[in-house]
Amino acid sequence: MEQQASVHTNTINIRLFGQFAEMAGSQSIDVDWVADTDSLRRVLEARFPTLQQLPYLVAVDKDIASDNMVLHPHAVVALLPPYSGG
Amino acid sequence: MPSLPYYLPIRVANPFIAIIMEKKVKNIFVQGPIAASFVADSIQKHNTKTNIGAHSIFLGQVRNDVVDGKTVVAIDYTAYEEMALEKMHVIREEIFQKYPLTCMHIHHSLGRIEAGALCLFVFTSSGHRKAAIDACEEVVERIKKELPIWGKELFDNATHQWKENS
Repeated sequence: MEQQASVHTNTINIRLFGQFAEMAGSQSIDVDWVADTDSLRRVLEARFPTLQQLPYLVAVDKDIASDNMVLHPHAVVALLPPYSGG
Repeated sequence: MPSLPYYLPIRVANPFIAIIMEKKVKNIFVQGPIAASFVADSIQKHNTKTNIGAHSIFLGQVRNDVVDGKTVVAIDYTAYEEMALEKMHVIREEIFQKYPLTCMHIHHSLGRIEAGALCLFVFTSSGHRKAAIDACEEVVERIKKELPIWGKELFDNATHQWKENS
């Protein structure tokens, strides 16, 4: 257990884009370590209640987490508002 | 007549070369608007590819929508570029599998694009028209739906809103 915990960092850096970057006034935020994307959503929605009204996607290593996805220690996590390219 | 050595595929499968091939993800992003002259030059460049019989081109232009009495004067585009390029690479491969295309070129603007300027250029070519037309339409739809790109609509009164694709 101890060994496994030492592999993990204490926080996850989350990259922000579009209106999320604007709302946070930053290109990324740090949140306490969570094991999976469902837990991450709960933590984020508690901290930023606006997210409860906005459809958003979580990307892990540049792939959309469509179901709950386990986060590995070096996962690149991003919070994506609805797309509007083109 | 000398034939190709049969071990060629094994050499191509060499991990070192595979890494180089893996990296062949094309950039689609351009800073600022897409000039009409760039579109014209792109068309001109295809005159040596004489197996092409049809081109299909889609041009996206920034529209001056009016929202609650405010007029959109420009759109400021940002993207999660690394992810968008990876997704575009997958889309490109799938489109080439689905349609008999000769070539396909995609350019998407980043930064502030004034109303009336071009922000998206999709260019597909094929031997016969149907493949070019259908592929072009499908690529445009997929770009709008699947690429992590965001447009901030800037209004004439210095306010803004975040655009959302329908």
